[in-house]
Amino acid sequence: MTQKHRILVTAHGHPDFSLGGGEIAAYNLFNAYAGRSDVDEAFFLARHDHGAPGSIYPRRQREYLWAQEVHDWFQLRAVHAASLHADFAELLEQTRPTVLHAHHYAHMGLEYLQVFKSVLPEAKIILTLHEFMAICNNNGQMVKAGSNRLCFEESFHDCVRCFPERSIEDFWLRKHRFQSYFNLVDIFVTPSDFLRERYINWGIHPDRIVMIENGQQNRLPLPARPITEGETRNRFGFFGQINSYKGVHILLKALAALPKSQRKKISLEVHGANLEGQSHEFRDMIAHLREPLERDGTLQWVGAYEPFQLPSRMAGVDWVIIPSVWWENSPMVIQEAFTLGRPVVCSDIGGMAEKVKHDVDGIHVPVGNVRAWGETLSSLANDATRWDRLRAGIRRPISFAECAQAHMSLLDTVPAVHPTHAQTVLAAAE
Amino acid sequence: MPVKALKRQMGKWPQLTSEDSPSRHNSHELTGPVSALISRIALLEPGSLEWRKCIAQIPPCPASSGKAKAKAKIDGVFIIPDDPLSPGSQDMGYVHGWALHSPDTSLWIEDECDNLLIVPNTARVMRPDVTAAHTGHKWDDGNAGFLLRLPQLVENRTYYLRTLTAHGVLTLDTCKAERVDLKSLLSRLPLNAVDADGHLGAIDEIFVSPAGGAVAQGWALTPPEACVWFQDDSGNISFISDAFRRHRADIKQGFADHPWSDHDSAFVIHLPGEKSPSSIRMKVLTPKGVHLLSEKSEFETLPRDPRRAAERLFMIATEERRFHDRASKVDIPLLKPLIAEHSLRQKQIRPRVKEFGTIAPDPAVSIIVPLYGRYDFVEHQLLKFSQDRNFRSRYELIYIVDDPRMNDNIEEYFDYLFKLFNIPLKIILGVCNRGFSGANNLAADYANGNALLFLNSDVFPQYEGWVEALLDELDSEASIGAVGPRLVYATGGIQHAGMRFEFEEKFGIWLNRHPYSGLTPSLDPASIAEDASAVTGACILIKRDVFDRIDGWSTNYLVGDFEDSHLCLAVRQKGYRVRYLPTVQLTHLERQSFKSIGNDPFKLRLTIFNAVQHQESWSEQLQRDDAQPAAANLFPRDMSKELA
Repeated sequence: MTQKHRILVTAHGHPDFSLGGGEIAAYNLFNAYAGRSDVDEAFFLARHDHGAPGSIYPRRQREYLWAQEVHDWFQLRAVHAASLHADFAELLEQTRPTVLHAHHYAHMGLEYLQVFKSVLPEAKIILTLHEFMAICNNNGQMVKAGSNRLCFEESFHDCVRCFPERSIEDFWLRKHRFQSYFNLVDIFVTPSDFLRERYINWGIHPDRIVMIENGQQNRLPLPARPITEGETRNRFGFFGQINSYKGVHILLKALAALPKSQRKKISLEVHGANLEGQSHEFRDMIAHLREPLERDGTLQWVGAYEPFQLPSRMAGVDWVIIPSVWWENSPMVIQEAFTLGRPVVCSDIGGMAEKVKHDVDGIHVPVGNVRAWGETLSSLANDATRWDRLRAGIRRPISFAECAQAHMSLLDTVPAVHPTHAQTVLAAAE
Repeated sequence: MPVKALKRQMGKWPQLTSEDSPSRHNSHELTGPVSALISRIALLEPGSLEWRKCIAQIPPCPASSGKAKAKAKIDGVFIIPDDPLSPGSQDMGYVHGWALHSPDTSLWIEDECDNLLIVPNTARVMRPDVTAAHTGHKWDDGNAGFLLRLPQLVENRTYYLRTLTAHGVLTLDTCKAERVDLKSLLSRLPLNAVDADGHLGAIDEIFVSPAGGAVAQGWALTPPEACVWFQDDSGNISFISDAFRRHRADIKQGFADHPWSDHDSAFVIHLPGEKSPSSIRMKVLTPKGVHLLSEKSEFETLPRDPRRAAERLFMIATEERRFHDRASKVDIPLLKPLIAEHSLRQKQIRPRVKEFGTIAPDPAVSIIVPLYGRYDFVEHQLLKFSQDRNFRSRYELIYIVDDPRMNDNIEEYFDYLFKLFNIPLKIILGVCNRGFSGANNLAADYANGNALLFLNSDVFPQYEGWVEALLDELDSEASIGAVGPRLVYATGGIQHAGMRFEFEEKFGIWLNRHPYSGLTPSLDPASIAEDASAVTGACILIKRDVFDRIDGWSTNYLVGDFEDSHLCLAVRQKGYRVRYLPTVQLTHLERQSFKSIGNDPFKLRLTIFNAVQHQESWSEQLQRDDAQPAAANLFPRDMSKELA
């Protein structure tokens, strides 16, 4: 190696303030880069929602916060345009990164990719994609607006049906804006093959997009939950955000629909966050579903947790449960469950179906199917041997260091793409 | 009164023939004392053969003696080549003048050859000027004027107005016959206040153009052959036969029994003339003289802005299918000078020019993009251009801001975009709205490229090198003047694959049609460069010298859809070829909408207005191209001589 890399990692939030999977993955990777001997220096720049508009300021050594915003979520346009050429460009000039590892453009806008290549034309850009934001205007979820029906492929004609106030031409502009900025990216990373395929269908050249799983902290698996004689592996735990995409309501409905005799053999713990940020109607629905289940002892509503609390919370359940009704990418909770030795019960679609192998390290359930969820939970709670078999089938997820290593090897193999003839990055989308 | 009856009455006009008039100069002998003869004449019917015989014997009255019982004057003897009241007759003449005389005094007009015509005492014409000059004259009943029609008048022959006195025949006035055209005749004839033989009409509205000329609309119930005209106070005359006519149900209903109510009564007419006439009169010529049908001195002055003027003018009711005829007769003649004045005025407004970065000193091509309405497309275009390396080294990029509403923050916007994409560019702030042609012409004045690429702001390239490919085709042969690429909609279907001319029967106009619209590009029959009738102005590359030779984009059109085909036809008229290049494809974010031109009444009329101007310039070539598209570029040989 002739030169040590200097890596700037950007993220749409700092995990100090925002505990999304993308933010955490970005920050962990930044730390892993920083610890490598072949990395000269690593920096972290996270978008922040406080501070003078557009300003950049330090959070701690080599970590910065950027008060950037996006108002136009259709086009992902940076609000504080002047700061792109002042604050951000100056940060680049002073830190001279050889690599930008961008973990998102949400809240920051797409333009900073262009500024990066203008200031540092020789440097490379890695962009990690966490969901379908470039493909889908419906919060990047690829589910139909309003109904949350699963969407299998974008097209201008389909997109205007989700957003009748927009025209086909609007969606053309959106797609081409994203694709043109994406032309500046040297290599794309997705944490799942599922997401990768979707982006290839959308127009990214298959040679330019690779799957690298998010890294996990090195930890030993937890021991099995101690059970008494005659007790079964009947404790299910939900960990994560509670919103209409995450399917907690499916789970609650499934339990409510079971005969009482079956239900009382099942115990569900919900370690959920951010319900308070959801719509009034959604919160009412959850409250309505919760109440009878809590009364008869089936449901424990435990509430939010800090990352360090996760092992102790997971220690108390047998199964980790992911009933999402959207595709998911690579939910961090799957990797965490596997690290801690807990089989996963999940919806049978997208990133979940990819990461959890049915009847090997977990169980697939038809997505959104209330009765199937009830039957599955009931059957698992009554099965004496299945849990042990599935636990034995779990393979250890990759570590932070292994994840960083995978990215470093990418850098050595990908030729730099000159910003003025970057079109080769994208397959013709027309 | 039916038309036949009117014609009969016309026939009753007192006519003069030379055969039955005995010559006075042939017999110098007096047959009796003059006084006795004079007394005898008084008993005879004036004009009768006997009367004529007697008169012929009376010697001229000595100039110094005799007191006339009359004052009279011939104002004019006019010969016109084609009399509106008796079509086909040759050299019909009109004599008019005035006479104040006692009821028992006869006046007549004769020429050197003793052709003779009595000036009637009745059916006379009002002459306020005579009345004023002879205040309180005992024989003035207000109708001192006369108007006579005579056949076979001879140019430059002298005509005499005579009367009989006690001392002989007295010549009151003489006048030489002069040959005039109809307009000059009508403007010199006096008005007859008596009933206009059933002719009716009214001027309902007059629109005056600030660039001169006016349009009057109203109705007239007259037979088709009637001589009806409009006259301003400077004597400018326009005949109703040049007006656009249409049926008006309310007139038909209101005058159901009128003999001419089945004819198209409504008229819309262009009146060339002064910038501010004080009144417009509608007149008719009948055997009884000139009659005033209607007079209007209230005008609506049209806005100086041609589009707003058109909005007002087009509100004059006319069926859509007949509007092309009206546009040709009325709207184009009135608005053309207004449009010309408007664009001249705009040419005098100096734009502000601002450059960002260093533009290539000798650019291969100047890319000119006019901006109007929305400008958020610019960012998308620059994003695409920024990934084409030639935009920084070989091309001159010019944005012409053609929308004064944008001026406030547009510089800041471009400053930001320049910093973001680092493409040198020039912006021209046009201060006013010049329209597509005016803006493009202005930008061309500031362009230094050997070729000019006119590009809409909603057209986006799909790959690097598209400009080079267009340039290669343009420069491949000296005979090629302009090149246009294929354009596709956002959905990927064809938007432009060359243009064709198609006659729209419904509206009587030639339209520019986009063949294969909406089909996938693989269904485009052209796969390599070919000659085209015309290509779209949304993206057209043209040689600089060719552009200059055709004086750029035509500014005759009003927010039109024909500037591009006009440009292409002009290029071809100079002997150059226009090429369609399907191997270069861009995306045009025009809404793919139902291609009907009939939705908005004003826009439909605007399209027809422009189409008529277009076909008035290119009628022959449009038909030739339509008949034989393959030979589209074959303009008549003699025109191609101009090719350098």
